Amino acid sequence: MTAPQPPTELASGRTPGHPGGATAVALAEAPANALAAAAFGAREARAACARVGDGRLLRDAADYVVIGSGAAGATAARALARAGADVLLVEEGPPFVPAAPPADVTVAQMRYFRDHGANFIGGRSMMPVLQGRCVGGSTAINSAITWRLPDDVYGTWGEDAAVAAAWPQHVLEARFEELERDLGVRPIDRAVLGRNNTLMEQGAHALGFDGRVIERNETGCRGSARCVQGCPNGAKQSMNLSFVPDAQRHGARLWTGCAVRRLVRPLGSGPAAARGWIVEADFQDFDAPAPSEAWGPAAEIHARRAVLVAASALQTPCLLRRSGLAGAGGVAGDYFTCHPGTAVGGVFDDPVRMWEGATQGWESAHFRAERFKLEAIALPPALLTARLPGAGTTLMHAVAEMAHVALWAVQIRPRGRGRVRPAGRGGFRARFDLAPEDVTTLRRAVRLLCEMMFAAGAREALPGIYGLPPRVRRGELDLIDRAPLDTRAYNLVATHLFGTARMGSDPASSVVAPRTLEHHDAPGVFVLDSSVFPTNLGVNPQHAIMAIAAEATARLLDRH
Amino acid sequence: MRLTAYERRVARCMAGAIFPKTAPALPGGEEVATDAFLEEWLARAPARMRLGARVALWAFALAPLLLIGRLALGTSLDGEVRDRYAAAWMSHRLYLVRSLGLFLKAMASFAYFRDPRVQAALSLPGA
Repeated sequence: MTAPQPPTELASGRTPGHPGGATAVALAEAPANALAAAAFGAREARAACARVGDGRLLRDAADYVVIGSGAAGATAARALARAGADVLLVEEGPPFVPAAPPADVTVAQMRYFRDHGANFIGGRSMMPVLQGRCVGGSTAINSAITWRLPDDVYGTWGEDAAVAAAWPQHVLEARFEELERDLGVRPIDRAVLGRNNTLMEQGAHALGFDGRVIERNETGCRGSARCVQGCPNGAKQSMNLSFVPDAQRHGARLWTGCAVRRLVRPLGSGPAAARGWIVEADFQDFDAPAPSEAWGPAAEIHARRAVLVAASALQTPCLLRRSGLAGAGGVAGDYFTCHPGTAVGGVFDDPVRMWEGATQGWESAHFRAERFKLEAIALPPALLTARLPGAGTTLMHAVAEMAHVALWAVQIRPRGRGRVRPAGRGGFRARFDLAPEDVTTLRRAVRLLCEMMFAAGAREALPGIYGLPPRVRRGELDLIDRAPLDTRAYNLVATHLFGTARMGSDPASSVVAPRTLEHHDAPGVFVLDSSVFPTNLGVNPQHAIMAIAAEATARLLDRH
Repeated sequence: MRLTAYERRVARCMAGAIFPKTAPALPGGEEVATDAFLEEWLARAPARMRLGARVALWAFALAPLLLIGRLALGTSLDGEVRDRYAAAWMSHRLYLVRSLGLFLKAMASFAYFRDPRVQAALSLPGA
């Protein structure tokens, strides 16, 4: 670990790879592909180090350093760059090359998912958690579902008067409108919905449940059902295709394969706030011939005005803790919450072919008051198999009828709470336990999904609860009511992560100030991702994350 | 990560147990290069995952006695016994065993569904 030093920028000024000077003219017209190629990664960093005589440490500076290029980081970097600020956007993962997203989900996982998609949240049960680790973050691999902050969430957040005052509904609504315009948010074209989605609509309507065709930020979805691997048509307006290139066009630099280790104060005289922060990081070459040759050089970036942390609700608190910024109450990483979910299959006589249509095209918030939301989801066959029953000949029977399977999921809004702590080199250890009433909610939702399957014409449902028959027929639904209320009986997945550096007026129970999202104890460090959310939402959070990041960045620019 | 020769054999047997050959047109798991896939997949995986994969493979090799009361290695099972053994991983009363079984199933699935013959037989995208 290097000692913090006063910054010494490269003799040539800013690092190569940035769209400055004459290059900027070309990049202003350049498509996202070219901009992805213009990213500055480990190989460029090594070359830059060699030019200034130090092959191991790269020093640079920017007025604003944004950590993470997902929904929050890209939104902030774009706003800063458009305002003419000097911005360096630092992404731990590789560029997401939009021209060639992999069809094979394992290739996507190896390249663009954090730890190959093999992370999990511990606790009474283990919940896998999938996160993008690439330019665009999880927006590159999610389904782009767009929800404004629900009214009741404003109410809950308003329990802290300072939070209510900082985030009035009309302010965020204006941000939502702006984002929806910029990203082309719209309902999915019915022509590309696909049968997995239309069957869910039929089932819900037959039972009188409200719902809608999902609204997403996309332009020209062709229904390839490959959101998880990255849109093959460039239709999904994920950050790697939209706000990151836009930030680059306006002068932001992008460093990829650059994992931030910690934030430290630079040595020097004068008030601490005027000295900024040093962002210590390590480059990683994802194309190195061997893992042992992947790491290096190290980097020290002087953030002259501010560091904007947007690394996700799992990584942000770990970075804060590794930097000694757990807060006065030591609560960074506490108050962790998420949206655990599970999926239910249904077997139909006619083919469903879930890989033809929108990945997620229909949803029902009918049961919001009961704290769960239902949505269709298409998975690649390799992932779908995890939800098919058994192994051996039982599994092969299911594989043979895979084209006839529909898959719909529930995400619950739990009352339980967990925590996140750093572990190992850049890793994390997280724990989350559902409250007993959350498990009851989960069981009820599984039953409702099975009912919807039958209402849509399924001959069998696959509830996926340990202790029940793997296949349930219409007359056997009552079995689900007697299923165990034990989280270990369900195949849970954790999505949408919140609360680990939450905003609040009390530094003993929060990490950042409500209005500015600036760290209570570290002037110049701002947290912009869903870590700051005081609660979970019960709906997909990408839109809310972006709106809050946009507004907080605007406030930062006003201040500076 | 290089698997040992025995671990490679376990990987292929495990895939064959989870995806047995049940129809002429559809390859069984043993016909798919699960071992080669695992080496590629784990080469840059986090240490925790590499360890987990190795533990899972060895558990598959050693657990027949515990799971189905058969004093044998997982690699030596065949037919109905092997099928019963594969199913036992998924339905065991211990959550840890079921979780390990799901991990085995996931590894086998990743290799299985990237095989062009499987994709073609099932008319899957990518074929």
